[in-house]
Amino acid sequence: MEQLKDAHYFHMPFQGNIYTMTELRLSNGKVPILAASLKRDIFYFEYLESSPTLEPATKEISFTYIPSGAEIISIDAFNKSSVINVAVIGITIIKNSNDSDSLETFLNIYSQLEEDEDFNIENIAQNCLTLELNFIPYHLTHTELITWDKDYNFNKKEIVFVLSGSDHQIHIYRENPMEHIYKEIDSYEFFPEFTKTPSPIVWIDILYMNNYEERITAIGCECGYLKLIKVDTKVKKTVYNFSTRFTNYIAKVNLYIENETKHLENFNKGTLKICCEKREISRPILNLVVVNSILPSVLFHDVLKFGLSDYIPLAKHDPCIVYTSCIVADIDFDAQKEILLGTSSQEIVLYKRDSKDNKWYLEEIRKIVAPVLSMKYIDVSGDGVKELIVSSMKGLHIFQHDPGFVQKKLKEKIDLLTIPKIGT
Amino acid sequence: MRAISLVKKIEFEFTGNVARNALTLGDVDNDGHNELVIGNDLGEVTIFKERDKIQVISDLGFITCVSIGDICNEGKNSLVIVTSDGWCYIYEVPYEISDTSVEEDTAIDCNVKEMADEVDGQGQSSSNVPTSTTTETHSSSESTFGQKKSSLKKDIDQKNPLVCVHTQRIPTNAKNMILGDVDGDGQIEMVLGLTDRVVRSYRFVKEPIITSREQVLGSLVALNKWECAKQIGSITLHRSLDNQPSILVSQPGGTFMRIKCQTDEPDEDNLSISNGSNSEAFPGSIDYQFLGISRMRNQNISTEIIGDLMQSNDIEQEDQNRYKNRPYAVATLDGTIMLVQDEVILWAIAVDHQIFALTKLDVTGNGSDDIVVCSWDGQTYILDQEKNSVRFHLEEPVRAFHSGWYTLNVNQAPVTALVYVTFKNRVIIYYDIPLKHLICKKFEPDLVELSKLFVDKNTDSEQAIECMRRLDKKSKKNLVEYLLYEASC
Repeated sequence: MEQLKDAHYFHMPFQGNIYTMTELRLSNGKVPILAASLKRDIFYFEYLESSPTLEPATKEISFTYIPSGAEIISIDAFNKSSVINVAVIGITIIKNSNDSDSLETFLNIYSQLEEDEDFNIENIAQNCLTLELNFIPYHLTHTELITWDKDYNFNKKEIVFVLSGSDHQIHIYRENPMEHIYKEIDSYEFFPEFTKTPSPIVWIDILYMNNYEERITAIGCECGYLKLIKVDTKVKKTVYNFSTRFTNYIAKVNLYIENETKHLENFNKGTLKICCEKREISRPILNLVVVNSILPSVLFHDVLKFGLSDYIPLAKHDPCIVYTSCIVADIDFDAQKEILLGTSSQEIVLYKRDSKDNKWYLEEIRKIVAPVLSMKYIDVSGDGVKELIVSSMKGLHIFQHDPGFVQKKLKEKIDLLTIPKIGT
Repeated sequence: MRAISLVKKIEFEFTGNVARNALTLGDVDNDGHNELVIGNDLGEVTIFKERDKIQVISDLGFITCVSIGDICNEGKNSLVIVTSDGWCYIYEVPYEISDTSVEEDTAIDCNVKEMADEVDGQGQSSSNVPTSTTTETHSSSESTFGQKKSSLKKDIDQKNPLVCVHTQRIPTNAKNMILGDVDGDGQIEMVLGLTDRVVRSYRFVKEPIITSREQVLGSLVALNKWECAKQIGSITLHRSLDNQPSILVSQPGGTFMRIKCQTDEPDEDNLSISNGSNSEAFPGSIDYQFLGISRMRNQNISTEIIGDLMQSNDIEQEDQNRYKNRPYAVATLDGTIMLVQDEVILWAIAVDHQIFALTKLDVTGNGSDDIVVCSWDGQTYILDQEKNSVRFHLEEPVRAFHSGWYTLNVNQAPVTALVYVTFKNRVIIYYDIPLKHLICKKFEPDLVELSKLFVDKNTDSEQAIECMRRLDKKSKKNLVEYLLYEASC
């Protein structure tokens, strides 16, 4: 992680939590960050392109309908379209009214009215739709809702909000495009896996596979209950359902495909096609990382084949720390994904896989200035190289790859792709 | 503006009020490693080495300036401590430290001091260096002497590395000190800036008395005195292109006074304000520079100045630049930071914080000095000479600030350090500042490398490179992303 350079640090006046940072993918390839603090402040971070330098820009956005005294629990954002900007931002708030002991909780959904090429966050922040909740909100995320027609042909894909709550349930909020409102829908119809759990759900991770025909969902609960469900989206039936229980608070669950294959779009050059075609055959291997706050975190290997039976604990280097967050990404460009865990003791712990004997070992610990709340690995600078974004108790940290290192790795990759071609 | 957070730090406990110039980084014990020296208003000077406190010198009076340099012109560093009540102490590591000679050491040191006080007056009268003021001679009274003797003895009992080799009475109210060759004679002088708008220079003159321990004796002899029109902000040493030194004394309102004290070719056009000296006898010249700052709101705003900013050689220097003097930086309390070269403001930026400390340090390690400024609320700006800036916030008020090089481990080279003295009786050293570049850039792939992917029987390498040049931003980004994260063989 030495090659990740401290590119920017933005101090936040109040701390957030593990749900208060989200990214928003814009159609022009930009990925700004929205970070909220508990005391109502929401900051919008992006890199302005004043070439040749990257100018970090942070602005505070005043979202409407967040009353004073309210606290932000979670924030989520998505773009409904991949070609134009139709941004939707969801914010869950809790309103402390001092007169009574009652807590009022709301889900505020901000969206763009007109489909506009220009993206203006201030306009979005003014267009609010409020939903009153009768539970305390937890994790707010979004997923695609797939509808199939009678012949099981792909019909429609829309994005819905998924919110877990203190009532041990998962709630789905779907947009009614005719009335332009969001409504809670019955989860049993489309998401049969969202059943009641023994305790509030801390984190949900949903992954579609096999051309949206299958959906894998991982759910981690406060009491340590972990559930992994595979659903056939065509017949809306559960294919299998595994569960286990850890004896501590699960901080995050993270599903990832170990051998991900993606195609380079918009490239009609023959050379590159040849390189990637031969890799398509392999069956996807889906792994699940469960971040335990106190126990060692666990990696479940190939959950499609082994369920929750093949697992490896990720050794803790210090028994007294609490793990809070996790990302899985290839941060050293060796085509192997690494696991990064954020801890309460101001560290980011990097686990690497030894490809020979399939063991994971602790590779490196990087100190930062404050306890880590959440992390993301996204391309906020818009240059193709992703940055590590860390939300800590003190603020937002952006770590950028050292350009010399990336240049070296890129050359290695190109050599790997071009040298066999010379041989044949 | 880009901001960073710093992780690597050391904290020391240090009580008392620290004056603006009462801390320094330098090699005080001549072992090739840099230490931190801090003095406070209670008369304590503490030396920190690596992660430990190695020595405390106490009972000195309100310490206003500490500095490390070769004041005795012996080729080794000494620690010079100046107090507001007009005492100057020189400490150094003795030639040899052996446990058996501890008592002897003390005796000699006392002798040294006695003689130093004695010869003070002689040195004054015998020196034929032109002076505009006289150093006040002083014979220390029995009581203070006894006190010092006991404290010295205590120091040596604790096997302290530094011992006092010289004590001298000088005019009171010193607030700034520089050690450096200000008149171009190859000797190190001490220049003091006083709160009564006076700048004085001294040189340590050795006496041809050789003691049994070969301890060289001498005293600080006053050389010059200059009076400024207004309060002194800071003083700094600056060198011109032909290595002619000058003293820059910052004056309120973003202005400064330049004193050239070399003996040759005095500039006659300049205003000589030294009192009681005719132009022939006066060795040097003085000029005021106003820098043409019209937008300075407050003409009385206190100003800091730092001279002699190194410029890296590999910056492609245009011909007209090659014959320019080194730049210097000026900062005012209302938040203006300027880089000035040949009295022309190259650039200025304004920040919203009250800047009180201005230092220079090559943070990025590219051979050119960066400007490091600190404000009272802990906001620190690191600026290079191209106006690129990075911000660091300490998040607590700062009493005194310094930047420089500090040795963390005797086996390793010194690393960059920002030293903060806070109001919570702590000294915080942020070390090894992880800044290679002050600006962040987008990753730009090497097009020649990229083009290799597109070379086939229909396309030769030049066509491929040409094709890469025409590639629009988005495809280039997608290609880089694909190659880095997806492509694997």
